[in-house]
Amino acid sequence: MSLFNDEGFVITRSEWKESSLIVRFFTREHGKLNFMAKGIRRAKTRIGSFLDSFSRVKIIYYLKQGNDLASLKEAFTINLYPSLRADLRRFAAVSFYFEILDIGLAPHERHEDIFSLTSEFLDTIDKPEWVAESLPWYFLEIAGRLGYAPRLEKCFVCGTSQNLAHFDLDAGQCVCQNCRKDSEKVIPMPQYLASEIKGGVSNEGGSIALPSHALPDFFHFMKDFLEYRFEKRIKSGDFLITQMA
Amino acid sequence: MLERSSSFETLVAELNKLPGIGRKSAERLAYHIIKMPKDEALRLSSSIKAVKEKIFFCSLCFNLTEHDPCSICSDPSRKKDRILVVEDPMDIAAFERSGVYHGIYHALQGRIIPLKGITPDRLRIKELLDRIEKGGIREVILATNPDVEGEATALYISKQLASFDLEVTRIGLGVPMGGSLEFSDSVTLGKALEGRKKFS
Repeated sequence: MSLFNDEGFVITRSEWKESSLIVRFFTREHGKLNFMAKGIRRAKTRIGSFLDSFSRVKIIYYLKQGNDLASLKEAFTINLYPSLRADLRRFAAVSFYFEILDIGLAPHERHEDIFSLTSEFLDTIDKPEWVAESLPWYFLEIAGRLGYAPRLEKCFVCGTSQNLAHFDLDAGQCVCQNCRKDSEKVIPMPQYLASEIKGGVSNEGGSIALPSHALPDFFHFMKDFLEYRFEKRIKSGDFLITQMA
Repeated sequence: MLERSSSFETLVAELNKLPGIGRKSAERLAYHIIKMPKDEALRLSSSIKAVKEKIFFCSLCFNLTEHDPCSICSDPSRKKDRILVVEDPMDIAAFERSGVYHGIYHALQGRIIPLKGITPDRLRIKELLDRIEKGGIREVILATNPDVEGEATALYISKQLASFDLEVTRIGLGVPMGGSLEFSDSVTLGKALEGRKKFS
């Protein structure tokens, strides 16, 4: 059994017995990993921090090779991102982001680039001047880094960039009005979404800025697309769409 | 060594469904029940049956009760113009043990956790609004837990209550009694400062 000095973001927490928690972290060194945090719900815990969801935490833990559950020895909160507590849109967006991480990441796989993106996403969303219109870049980016980037530049059948009003879930690409086939795997998509996004996907640093009225459509699209890819429901999607409306 | 029987396996499977009870613990508990005196085991079984038959949620505040409305809602000495909103009936029990609150309660039966699919419509928020709409409430005290989901739940409810003519307050948050400032995080210290009181 080895001792690790690491840091991570809290994805989810579940109560375990009277005073313990099982906490799922996205760690820098070991990627997604479950931890047993014994006695942490007591007011005077020896672990030293209460491990709030989405917080960034410095952690010291024991992990046996091949074991699925690490044992938390010490934890110290680096950032609780207080703005998430004062704004339901920020809270909903971070919930959706972390659920995508939780589903999309395989356990024990180190992803330095996704760790950095998550850090940047949380730092940005915590700033007082943050605007919701900057969110789409991060969601397209995380989908891309997990290997599920939607392609929105042109119709994947004929190559046109006109009348892109549908999206083929199987192909993961846009399809124009003329080429689309009637199928439950082809979903409608507002044309402005493709034209707004396609120009900005390659831009760095969250520079896509969809108008705020387009955000519910965007998140609806991302939810449908990722649920199809993951073959799993994203539970936080509807709450986010409601908050963005 | 006990020969595995279907009744033993059924008991283990049922115990295994309880929160925090894994397969090993379920087997240990099942062996313990087998070794118990018969009358003790039957008392356990009948008490489980009794709580399932007699205990339900109060139709007003959603506290656990054997009578509807519960003893708190039907107590004439309680101040009925003040509702303390908590996540679970266990929180009501904690406030009652403190003996410092004499108003009425409302248990939401959870808090907003979008990742687990717990959205506002899954909580007893509509019932809270219905109670307030009936009139007579002057203050709503939001006492959800001070973690990010509890804060989001309090924020959501405060927005729903914005159109009502009443005072919406949040319980004081900050350093716990007997806690240490040195080991407190920045949000806790910030909340403690925000909620500071005049020294009298």
